[in-house]
Amino acid sequence: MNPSHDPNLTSWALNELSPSERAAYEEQLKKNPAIQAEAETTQSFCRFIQNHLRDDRAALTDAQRARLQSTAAGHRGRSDDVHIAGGKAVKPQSRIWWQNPSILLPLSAAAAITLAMAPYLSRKSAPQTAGESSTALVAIATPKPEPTHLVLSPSLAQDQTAGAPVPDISPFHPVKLVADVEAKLKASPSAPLEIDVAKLKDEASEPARIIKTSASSLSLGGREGVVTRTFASQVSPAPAGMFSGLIVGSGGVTLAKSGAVTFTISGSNTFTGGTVVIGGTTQFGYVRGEVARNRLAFNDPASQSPDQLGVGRGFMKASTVTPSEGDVTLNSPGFRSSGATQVKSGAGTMVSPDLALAPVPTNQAMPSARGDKSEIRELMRQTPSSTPSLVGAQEGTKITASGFVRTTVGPPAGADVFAPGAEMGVFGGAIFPRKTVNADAPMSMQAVKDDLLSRGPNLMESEIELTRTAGEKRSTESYAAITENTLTEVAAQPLSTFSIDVDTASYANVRRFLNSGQRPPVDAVRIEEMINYFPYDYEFPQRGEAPFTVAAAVAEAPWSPTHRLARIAIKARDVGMAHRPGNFVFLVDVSGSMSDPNKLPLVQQSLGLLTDQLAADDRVAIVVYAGGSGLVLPSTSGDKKPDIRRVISEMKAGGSTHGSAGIREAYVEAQRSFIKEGVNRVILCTDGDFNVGISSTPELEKLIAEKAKGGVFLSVLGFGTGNTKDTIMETLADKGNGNYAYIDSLSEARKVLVDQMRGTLIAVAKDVKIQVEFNPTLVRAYRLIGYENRVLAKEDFNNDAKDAGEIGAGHTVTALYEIVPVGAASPDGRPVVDGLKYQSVPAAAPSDAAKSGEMMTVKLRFKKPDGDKSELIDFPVKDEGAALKDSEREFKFAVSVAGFGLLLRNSSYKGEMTWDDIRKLALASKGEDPNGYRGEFIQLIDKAHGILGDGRP
Amino acid sequence: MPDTERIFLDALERYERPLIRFAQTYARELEDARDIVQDVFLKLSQNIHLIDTERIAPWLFTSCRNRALDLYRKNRRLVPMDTELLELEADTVAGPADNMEAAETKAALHKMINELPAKQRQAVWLKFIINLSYQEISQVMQTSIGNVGYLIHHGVAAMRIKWKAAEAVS
Repeated sequence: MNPSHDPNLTSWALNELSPSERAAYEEQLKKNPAIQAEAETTQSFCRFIQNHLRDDRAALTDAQRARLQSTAAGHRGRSDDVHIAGGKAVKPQSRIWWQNPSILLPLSAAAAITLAMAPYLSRKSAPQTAGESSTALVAIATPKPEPTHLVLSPSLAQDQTAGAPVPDISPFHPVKLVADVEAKLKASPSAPLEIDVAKLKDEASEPARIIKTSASSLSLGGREGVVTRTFASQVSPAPAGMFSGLIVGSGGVTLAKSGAVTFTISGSNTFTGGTVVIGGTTQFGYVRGEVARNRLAFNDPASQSPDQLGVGRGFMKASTVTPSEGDVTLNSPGFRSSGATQVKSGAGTMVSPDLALAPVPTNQAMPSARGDKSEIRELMRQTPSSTPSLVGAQEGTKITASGFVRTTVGPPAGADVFAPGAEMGVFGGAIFPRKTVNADAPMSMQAVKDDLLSRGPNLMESEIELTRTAGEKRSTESYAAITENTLTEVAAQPLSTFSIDVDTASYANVRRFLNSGQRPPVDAVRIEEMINYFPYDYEFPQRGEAPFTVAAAVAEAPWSPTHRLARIAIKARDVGMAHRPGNFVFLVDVSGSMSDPNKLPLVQQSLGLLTDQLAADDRVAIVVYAGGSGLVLPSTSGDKKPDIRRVISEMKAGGSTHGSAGIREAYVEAQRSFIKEGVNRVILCTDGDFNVGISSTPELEKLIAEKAKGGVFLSVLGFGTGNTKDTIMETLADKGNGNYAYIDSLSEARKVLVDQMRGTLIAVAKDVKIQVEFNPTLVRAYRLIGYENRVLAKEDFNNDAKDAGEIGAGHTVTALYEIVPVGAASPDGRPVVDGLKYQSVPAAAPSDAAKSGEMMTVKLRFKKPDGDKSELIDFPVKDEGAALKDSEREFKFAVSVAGFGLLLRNSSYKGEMTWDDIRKLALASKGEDPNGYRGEFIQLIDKAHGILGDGRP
Repeated sequence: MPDTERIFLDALERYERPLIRFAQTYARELEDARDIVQDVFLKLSQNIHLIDTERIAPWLFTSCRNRALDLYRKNRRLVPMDTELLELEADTVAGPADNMEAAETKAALHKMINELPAKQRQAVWLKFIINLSYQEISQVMQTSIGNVGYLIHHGVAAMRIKWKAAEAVS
């Protein structure tokens, strides 16, 4: 064999030969100088490669290494040996964590604890994300009703604050579980399991055992992988419950405590699937970083003392805290969270002095991975009555600013650290706006850190936690529940009062759902907005000086043929109005969440369309709320279109939201360029996930209502999908005397901003209210279709201080009443309510007018756009017994839209209506349909029919 | 159990950096690689009494790879390597300590390793980049130590020839 082909040559060069082999080989080399030279060359070449390729710079952080070393120490048995490992002496721990008075919470007297396996109880309080199985794991119940504390120890130090020593913790006390536990488990692995902790203590010196949770069972014993150290009995003062073992698996853990006990879980747990704590005050310790999605859920409505969750020095990822009530304190300075926010639902406050919310890439289709602003804001919205607080936020804080929220060590838990209205970045630390990480071209971690560090002095580098999490796509759209108006007996309530509504958003939103093959959420279907989406070709006689005309018509209700339908329709004047100059301030959300093509780019196109419409005496300003800059276009004359277009095209999504800019800035600009005789309006363009500097909705509403009184109205244009906050947008537009339109396409933008621009932006009357008085001799009951959130008290009609809807130039508003005539047979022939036996119905004697044959009287009140005194119009309506097929086309079309809404809502009033009925009706009343709206509607009927079936689920 | 503790700490000392380097072929970010390696060692500590201590190296590298792929599947944030174990990704970015020439040398060597036949490439990579011993490589590659020596010998020899040729050209 050619000696240079001997692998030993390289083995020798790399020093991989055993001593004897080496000696033998070197003997061989001495005999052959050529091979020796070859070997030496190989050796130097190998060193050369090693020098260039071996790269040991990358290593664990010191903290990580120390943590791992302490983990190993934790495995040490109870002998007193000093172990030498890796050349380093490992110091036996001198003080275990619960002897540290700073960590120790009051411990109550020992109580018997049973470990019980119980069905996963968090279901109600902690909704699962779809597809996740859930089962319960460990339940701990105690008998005594005294204050309870559960302390979870910081078993693995996560303290990365500057230079903090890593405490040596994790006492490992192997415990043998009672033998019958394993037997029970084997017999019925899914049945509830009780373990007597007292017995565990007695056998504490037995070899380590295992507790492993899984989606369906708790298994104890065996060799399944994780050492359990449990219930050390020698701890003083004796805690009532202590679980320092590791909990692993995916089924979550339930801690059911009924009484007074301090319970401790101290392992560096890796389980996923959630933690449910039932009852008492609880402290939860360490949930290791691997835990992908952990929920801490509380569910004890009967508890006297509020639930309390305390997390020691720990680490949570993608965690949700859902106590039904009570406070949550994440009270260790070392506590960290990444991957997503902790989100608390329910009453009570949640305080975390040290919290990291990691950002998510916003350019992916990930509407609201947990932890982004919408979720936080949503939370605050959901519990307006109880100071819903997140991570230390009191109402009015800027924490809703955006996704990346980072605080450093903060003041004591519970301190009112976020004063209402406070700017960002207080709380003993700093809160940063979202940092957008582009998933296609990830920023280096260092670059992100540098960026964040440059923003605030209080942020310590070591605490920055960035995780890009591809959370599942999860819609966070929200809609206010709609309870349909019911049939009302005229004898009880002869008056029906409501405010007009010119919003159209619901139709566009419903269309979006249907076009994507989904059934729209029932509460997204607002029938009046669907009816009012369509322009109606109304020709009514003028009544008085009103800026609009109004008329009524009656025909049978197609879904319930013995009932009548009364239509009240208003058409605002479109012609003959003097041009009124507009002063528009566009308030555009350019935060990262707006980067989808159907968001900011569509906003830009829409504004471009509007710019084309501007006259020289119109003024436009643009305020963006992101990136710290507010006003990007000061109020500019409408004849400087190139300037306006340039600014529009320069808007870019992805900036971080700047909380203090926003709506105030927009109003300031609107007031600066106020046109006294003109139309002054702020137009908010957002995906609904908006945050305009004032975080709480009530505060925002108040501001908007105030400004509307001052003559600056607000309109809201909703864009995009996935996190539409329908309710808020509608409410704001309502408060701002404005309208809310949902723009899902350029053609919709053209409709709202071009075709109906004057109507959208130029109000001809405001506070338009309608009151209808029904004639009890002809009408037994009535029902207003839609307008559920516009219903007013009867006293509100004459009260000019009461705000109501406004109507824009050329707008049409249509309202339908379903009317049950006196004498109409109900389907089963019974009256709605039986007559009273003990009192005669106090019906007033019919007036003379009641004998007039009038079915009802319609009254309208309205104010001029700049007026504050209302004017009244009223007129009677007679039912001439007309059939719908003979009625005017526009009436029929409105009825078909109403029927569409009833079917989409699966309304209990939909009667005999079928998709085919409304399709025929719509087809018959399509008319010229110059814009194609009605043709599209007919297609939508077919789509809805296909998606919802025959409408009778 | 002093033995397992010592084994664990030895493994930590011995394999920390090689594992980080290995994990970096899956996770571009050092932080990710650190998290992966930390998890691997935590898992080791939990399972150490179950593991054949003679086979800790393959266990660690296999766990590391699995953990990295888990994370990738979960988060789609890691760059998956070719499923063939130990595919080499050239790290040609100069570190702060590298000068340009060193960086070029490094890149050239990476390229040469990449051009080796698969088995030789794996062995050379584990030897020179991950810095494992022949014995550890034999465990990871599930082959004999003799075969490892053979593969590395031929790999190194091939690289030497190429290097010479390259030098001659320049």
